[in-house]
Amino acid sequence: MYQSITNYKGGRYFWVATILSLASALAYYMHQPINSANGGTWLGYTLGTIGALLIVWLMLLGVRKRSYSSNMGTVQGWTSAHVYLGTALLLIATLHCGLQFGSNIHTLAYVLMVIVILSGFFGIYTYIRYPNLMTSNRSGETLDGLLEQIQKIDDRCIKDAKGANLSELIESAVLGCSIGGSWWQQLRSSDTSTMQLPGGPKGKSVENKNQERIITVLAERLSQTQNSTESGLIQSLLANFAAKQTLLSRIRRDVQIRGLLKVWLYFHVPLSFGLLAALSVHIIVVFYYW
Amino acid sequence: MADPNKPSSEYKVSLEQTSLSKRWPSWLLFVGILALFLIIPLMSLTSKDLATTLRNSPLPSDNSWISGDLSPPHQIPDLNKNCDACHVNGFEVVQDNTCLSCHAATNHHFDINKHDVEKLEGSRCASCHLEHEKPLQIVRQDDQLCINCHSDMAETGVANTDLIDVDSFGKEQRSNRKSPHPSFKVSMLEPEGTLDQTAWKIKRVELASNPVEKSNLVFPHDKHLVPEGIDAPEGQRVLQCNSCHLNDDAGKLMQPINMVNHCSDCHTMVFDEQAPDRVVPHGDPDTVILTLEEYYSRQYLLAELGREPTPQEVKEFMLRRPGKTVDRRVEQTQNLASPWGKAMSIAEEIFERTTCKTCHEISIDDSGKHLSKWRVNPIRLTTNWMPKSDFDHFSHKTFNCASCHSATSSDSASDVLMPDLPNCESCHTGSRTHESKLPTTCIGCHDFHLPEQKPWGGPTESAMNKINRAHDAHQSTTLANSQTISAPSSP
Amino acid sequence: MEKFEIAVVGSGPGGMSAAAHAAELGVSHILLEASPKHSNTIQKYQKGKHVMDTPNRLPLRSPLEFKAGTREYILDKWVDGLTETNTNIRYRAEVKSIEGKKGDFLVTLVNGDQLKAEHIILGIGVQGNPRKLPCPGADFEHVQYQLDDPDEYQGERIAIVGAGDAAIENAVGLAANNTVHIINRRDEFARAKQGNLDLIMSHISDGLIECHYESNPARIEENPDDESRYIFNLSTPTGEKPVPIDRVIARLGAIPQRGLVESFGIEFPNDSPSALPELSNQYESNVPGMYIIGALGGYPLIKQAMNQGYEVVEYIRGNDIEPADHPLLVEAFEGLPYDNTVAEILVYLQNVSPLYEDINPLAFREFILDSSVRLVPEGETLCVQGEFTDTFFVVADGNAYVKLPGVGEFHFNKGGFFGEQSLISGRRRTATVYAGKNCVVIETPRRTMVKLQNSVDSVKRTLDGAFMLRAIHSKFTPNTAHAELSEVIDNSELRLYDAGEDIYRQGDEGDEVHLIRLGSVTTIKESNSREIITSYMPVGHYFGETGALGEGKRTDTARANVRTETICLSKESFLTLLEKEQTMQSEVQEHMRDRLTVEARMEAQPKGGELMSFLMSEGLGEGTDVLLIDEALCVGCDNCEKACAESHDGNSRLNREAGESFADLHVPIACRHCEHPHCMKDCPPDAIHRASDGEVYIDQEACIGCGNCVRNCPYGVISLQKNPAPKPNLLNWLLTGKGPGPGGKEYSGDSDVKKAVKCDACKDLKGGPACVRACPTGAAKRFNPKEFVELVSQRFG
Repeated sequence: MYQSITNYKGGRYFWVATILSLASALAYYMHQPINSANGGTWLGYTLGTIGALLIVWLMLLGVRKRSYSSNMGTVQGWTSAHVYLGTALLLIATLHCGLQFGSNIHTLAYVLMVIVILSGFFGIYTYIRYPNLMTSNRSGETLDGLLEQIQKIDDRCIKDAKGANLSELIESAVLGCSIGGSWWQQLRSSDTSTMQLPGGPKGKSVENKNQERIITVLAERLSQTQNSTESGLIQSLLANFAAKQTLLSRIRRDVQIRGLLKVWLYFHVPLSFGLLAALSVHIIVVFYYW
Repeated sequence: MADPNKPSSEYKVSLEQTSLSKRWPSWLLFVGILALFLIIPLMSLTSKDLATTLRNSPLPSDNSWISGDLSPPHQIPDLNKNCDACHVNGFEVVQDNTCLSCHAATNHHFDINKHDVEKLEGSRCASCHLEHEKPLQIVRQDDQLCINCHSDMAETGVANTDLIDVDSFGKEQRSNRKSPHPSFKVSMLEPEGTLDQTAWKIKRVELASNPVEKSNLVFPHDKHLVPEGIDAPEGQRVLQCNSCHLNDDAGKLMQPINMVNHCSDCHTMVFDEQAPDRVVPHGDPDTVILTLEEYYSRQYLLAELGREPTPQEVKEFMLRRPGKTVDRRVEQTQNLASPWGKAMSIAEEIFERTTCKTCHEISIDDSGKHLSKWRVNPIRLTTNWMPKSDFDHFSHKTFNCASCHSATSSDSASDVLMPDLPNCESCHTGSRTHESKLPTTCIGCHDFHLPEQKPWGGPTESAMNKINRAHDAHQSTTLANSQTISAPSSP
Repeated sequence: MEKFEIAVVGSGPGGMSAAAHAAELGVSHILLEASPKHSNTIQKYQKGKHVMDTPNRLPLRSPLEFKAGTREYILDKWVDGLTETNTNIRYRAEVKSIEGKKGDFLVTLVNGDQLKAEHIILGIGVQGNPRKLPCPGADFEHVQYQLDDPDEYQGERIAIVGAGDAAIENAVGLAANNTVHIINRRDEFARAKQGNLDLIMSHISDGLIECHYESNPARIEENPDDESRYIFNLSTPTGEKPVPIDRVIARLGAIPQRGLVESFGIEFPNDSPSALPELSNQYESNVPGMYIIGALGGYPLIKQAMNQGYEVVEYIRGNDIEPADHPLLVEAFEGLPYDNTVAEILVYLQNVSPLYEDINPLAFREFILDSSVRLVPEGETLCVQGEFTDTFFVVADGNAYVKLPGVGEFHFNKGGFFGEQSLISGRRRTATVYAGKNCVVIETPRRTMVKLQNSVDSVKRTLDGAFMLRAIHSKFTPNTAHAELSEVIDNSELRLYDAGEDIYRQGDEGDEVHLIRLGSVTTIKESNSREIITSYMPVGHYFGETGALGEGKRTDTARANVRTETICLSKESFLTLLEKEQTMQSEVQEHMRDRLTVEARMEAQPKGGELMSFLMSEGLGEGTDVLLIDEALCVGCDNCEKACAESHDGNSRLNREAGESFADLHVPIACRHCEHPHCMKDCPPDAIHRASDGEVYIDQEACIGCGNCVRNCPYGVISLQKNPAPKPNLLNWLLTGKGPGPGGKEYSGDSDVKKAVKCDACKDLKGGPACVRACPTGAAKRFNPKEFVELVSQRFG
């Protein structure tokens, strides 16, 4: 009932792509070029045309994906075709140029194309690998939900802190807590949390990675305090920070996975526009110099 | 509901909230590449010196459009990296006259004014001579070049030609193609007309039909190539092929054989054992007769005067030669004691039995038109048996001659010792066959732009003249090398 | 004491119109309105709400103006009208009792005033009045009984009185920007929906809302030192507790009208909550001199009510004018093969079928107006098998027929009716019906039929009888004459089960066979104290035959997924049925074998059973078209939501991330298009409909944004949304990134009307649901619960 893009409709587009590739390869083998295979032979022009059309079509996925009332097949179908035909393109373009490279715009176009396709391969990898991990990590929660829980924990902590007159300490820890951040931090799920040590120099904050520092500090407090109510509060603070600890790690992992699922697109898409430009120049030049 | 652009909290937890973007990098790359590789190069098309400055700058110029190097012969300053040298106008293929501006001398494959072949219509220099491609070769090597037309001349639009259809070369081809490479024909010289005016015509004959060469030369290869050698003035001499047959300067064909260089060491033209240093000249029979008469007249005077006669005396004596009337002459010549008689008998000896006869066909002419009744049939040796192919002896030098030319077993000069197709195919095969032989394309043996090649083969007059010139040259050398006496003008 | 010829109770459209007309005619009259403003119900509409003047064909007969327009415009017009005609209206005059008889009624108000009237016109609607705070200060300016838009209030101290869903939703809504106290009579929130309960508890535990349990409002006083407006004194078990308050919102529900109305001596035909009193065709109730108009008289539409107001005054004055809808009926009857007067045709039609016997002529007139009466060309289809249409047909003349394969045609003759299956089961049409010779049919929309069923018992009885007969006939003995089944029918009965109720339990003695006619049932195997769902059965399936054919012991438990009704056949009846048709026996065994194999398979994969029970616990059992997301494929691109928003008005009707998951199967917050949609239950403008393919959708034009559906939907898939401003086209966004992208939205100032939005399964898109077609990885798919077993066994098989 459910089909992944790789075996969509029994891998329909896998076969399309395979047949296309085989046909091209066969033609390439049968072909007797004047001296060696290249873009200038009839086969070269044919493969080139196919390749160029493919590239344009592949890029149209971005439009189709967003033309929501379109009846041109399903987006899944398009994606599946996108994956397989994109892979076939690698072969077709290579046969098109007959492995004749140089330091020129034509080879630039080829190189861009290869990078785009490779980044796409990474995309497929993430699409296959991460969804399961993401769900198992979130285990039914939503990211917003998790963040709300953090919010609540923070509120409780601050409330308790008032009672145990630790407000300064706790607030610094709460404010210093880092989640996500720059795209690099998100992908590395880095934790740059900080806090203010009690009595420490103003504005001078120490790192509080994984909330461990604050927990140790609280633990010390607990061992020193005699006041029962205060110790009760500190205990609940400890409990809350412990809970927060686990929540944070889940959130960071979730943010990281979401990032991995998306980040490749930030290369895939711009590069394909570069490719589009290079391709246009390539075509113009080819006909300018016939 | 869930909106990626709306932060789910003050934290940045999705890439959409970070500095990452798809749009501006896309624009940057798109516009950047267009600017660098389209706009700037386009500017270099506007003015010559802007182009040169750009080409020498790190900035991309229209050189960034070059899809590949030029072939070595074209890598000259005027052309190399100088696009507009050949690509004169944009969106226009390179025109023939652009090529011809340098290659004006090139012949067509055939006279296009006489024959219009649809197949070749619209074909340009550049349709065969491809540039900017690997491998860097400007000359087409592929079979299609020839096969396109020659596989079916009728279909090509060349009616009633005696050109044979060829669509392949090599064993496998032969098995599944309809017109494989035919066995070889040779262009052989044949005498026509009278002894006095002999015209030599080139005749194409199939080697298969064991042609007989009518060069009028008498030469048994086997006698000369006996391993123990042949008698030479200095004793036994063992002959190799290259004792006589030497590469021409190009190293492709063989230099013409001539009497002086190749025969005269052994075949001396002595006619009197007493005078081994006296030879008759190689060439015109009349001169031979004169030489003999002059010699014996001198002997005669020596006896009469008891001293060496002066040239003047000899001249005068010779003017007293009898024979105002024929019977008087005959009677004179019968008399062997007379120098004339002696000369005649010696002449008869060398013309009909020894010296000349060894190598030459001799015929008798009693018409009295000439001083000598013996005539030597003229000789032409075929210098280029296979003018339509481009065989290179030099590149085959590692083979011994016998592997192609079975000279040792040839006892007559009329044998044609050219090898036929199978001989080549023992090493060569078609370009796309899988025999473990040397794949060879048409161009391997045949040229396209043959020098002065008229349509459908056969050398032009000029080619013919060359052959004759070559021969005359060889004549004159022989004359130069022999002692001569200018013929006395008859009273 | 004052005496009037006419006393009008309730200043709704009908009441106002009546009073104004009386004023016009110079008849002595008084218009009594309980609230401080006239036409309370319409006042409750949202600001700027566009009010329709349906049925627009119906001419307006009233001294008051009424044209389609904004709520404000209409209300102003009415105020003008009332002043022009100088109608005698009294506000805050809530009627407590009416005694006496025609010509001499005594009306007593809550505040003790009394007055006399010859005739009474009741225009009090069905909404009822919000229950007032039972304490002093209930009438202060900032004490209110409804909340239009929580965002109106910022930084106030607000007390919410009540513990129902309405109270909770208001409290939570306001908590964002205000300090909120919720005052709960009890020590728990018993009446609330689960979702709301979780919501309020979490808010309370997080200190966002302060809850006062076991507290009753004692009194509200102006605050002497006005750092707050009022002091709200609560009586708690531990004595009085003063709370400083700026605003009080009381959500104590409404006082149902029926009690009050009955106290006037008016009778209702039955106990159904939606039942309406019976009236003469001059709107006179069983109490002579007491007339009922408007919603309570069965006329929910504003224009109708206003016309009635006019007409009823005329009737009282003794001139028997043709009702305003007369021309409509004339029109409605055009093309019918009758040349009689409207009245005659009405009588004729009412006598066509026993169904209509007990309907009062006035209601029938209305009924016919709602329905369409037409002469159908022979051979034309009336309803098509497999469609989700839910109209009900009665043959008035000629006949209609069904083609039964093998058996030939089955004819519905004059008086015959069909369509009750779809009406009752909320399922697709079971057969295609063609019009026969000169066939005249009365086609009635579901809503009208349901109303009729509830107000006239006989109708329900007849329909149920017919339903049982036909259901059993088509299921078990398609080739037997109806007559032969009468005995079986008599011995069979309808059984109603609540959601989650066990119909029978594994191991019970029992040999009855159940045929589902409403809702759906799952069978459950209990093995070593673990329950495994082994099958799901929608309407039209039967179960229990194993008991009947076996030794009368239940081998599994049958449980109602949702409110379920079955036709229950005794073992004997079932066997007699089987004897009637030999072929059936084998078929039944076939069916039994199939089900046992499926059950065995499900039993073999307990995980599958758990997944199944999860799906059921998510309430998917009552759905017809359910969106499920395979989390092993979903990459969280939210393209489904964007697609939803973009292919509709810019608001997504689905929340991908929210919702429960089990075994990588995620149930997003999205409509499942229930068989009997909860949202349809209580929609004042009847704006929620079911399309012929089953999609349940909201008519955005008609929606008044009252939020009833939002509250009624147990799955929280409906939300009140403003219409976002139109966006730049896609290309523009792709190139410049200006404006909101797909899924994003911005509001322009003029779009402040909130309307209910929900999934309509993209009924208007050729390609079907956009969410599914827009999913790049194929993670989003829609299912009919019938497919669950296959889905489950595929995932674990």
